[in-house]
Amino acid sequence: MDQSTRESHWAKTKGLMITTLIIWFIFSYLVHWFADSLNNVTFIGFPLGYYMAAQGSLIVFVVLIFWFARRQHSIDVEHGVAEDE
Amino acid sequence: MSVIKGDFIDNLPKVYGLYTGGFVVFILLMAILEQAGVSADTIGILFVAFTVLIYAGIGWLSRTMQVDAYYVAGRQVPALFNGMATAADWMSGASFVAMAGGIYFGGHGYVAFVVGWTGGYVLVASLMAPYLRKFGCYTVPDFIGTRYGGNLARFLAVLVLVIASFTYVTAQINATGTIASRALQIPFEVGVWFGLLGILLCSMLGGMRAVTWTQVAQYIVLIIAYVVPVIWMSNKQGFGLIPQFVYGDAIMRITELETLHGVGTAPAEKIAGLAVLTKAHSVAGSTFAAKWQFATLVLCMMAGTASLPHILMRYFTTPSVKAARQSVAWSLLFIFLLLHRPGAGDIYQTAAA
Repeated sequence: MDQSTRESHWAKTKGLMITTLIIWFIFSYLVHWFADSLNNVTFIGFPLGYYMAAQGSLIVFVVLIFWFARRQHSIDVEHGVAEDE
Repeated sequence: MSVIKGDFIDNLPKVYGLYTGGFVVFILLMAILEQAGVSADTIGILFVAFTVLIYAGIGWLSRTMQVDAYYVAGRQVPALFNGMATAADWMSGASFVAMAGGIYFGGHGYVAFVVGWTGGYVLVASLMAPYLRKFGCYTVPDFIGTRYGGNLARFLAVLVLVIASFTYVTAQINATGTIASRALQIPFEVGVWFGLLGILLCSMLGGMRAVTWTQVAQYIVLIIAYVVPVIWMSNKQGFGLIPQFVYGDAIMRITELETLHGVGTAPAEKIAGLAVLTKAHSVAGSTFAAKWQFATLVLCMMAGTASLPHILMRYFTTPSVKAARQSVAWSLLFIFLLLHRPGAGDIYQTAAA
């Protein structure tokens, strides 16, 4: 694999990683920092702040990882480094 | 064994489908026995005996002398099944013994544990698992030693691993002893030895291969054991059959009850353990201290989850790097199925009270 492909692959991988980590940060820390204000909002019967901690963030994490795996795989395929299965 | 191996991997859904069916039949049999008047203790013992026997059986069938199979299950475990096994592995002592009660008593602040444990997997997926898998090593210290070069790095990794694992194992065996002594009505110390024996039976002969396939079986038992009681309870309380999204109403009811009973007012003097009775459930702290506490607890749990050596190793068993990433996703999904309902059970109890 030549240098430019390698650089491009790493640049895209890094970009995806940072995007993922930003979303992660928002739902791990940012949302819960404001849980007390969010609790004033009701969401399907739950106080929203509590809901985000008990289920909301979790759902985001699950979806996030599935999406990440898919995106990373297409980056790998694009640069010809995906394994043959 | 290698001929069966190839067929085994191809037939996984069928094999475990059969296993699940068998387990459901067993449960129905126990229900019949209960109706016939068999005591709860006996049924408890039968459950434990049956499941341990099955796991030991799988452990025996998976016995191997091949290094590849012993350490990384031959790198043949498909992502979904690997995810199930990892979820079963990870949902251990604390999830059984502490979590539901902890959330019930600790309220919002305690749920930081759950956020932390699950968020850690995002770190595993994006920063750890694929790179570890790509390297193709057998263990995490192996990876560190190879990647960073030299024996010092490797030695330090081993040191950290031993300390982390030893702490972890101590807690796990403690939980095992507690559960075994409750389920089997035996003293705690005997429960510990019994638990260790069970673990040995399942893992010694087949290493990671035995562990992985046993744990897929365990996950099936776990999910049934977690889901059925909560659905049952929720149904009895009139919340319907899908409690996860409906338990918001239960939370609201708790809040009402709390106001009624004056929960949420700080006690006049500080007595240890009283906090659980005086803290309102879904209220999130508004002070900086409370927020900081939540955030740092989350951080701690995430860093821990993302560096658990025995979890990181579980992604060595997948056939490819892509499968490793997918496996992390499946792990978290299967963990989520168990984790997002723990408070639910206790909440129904309270709401009913």
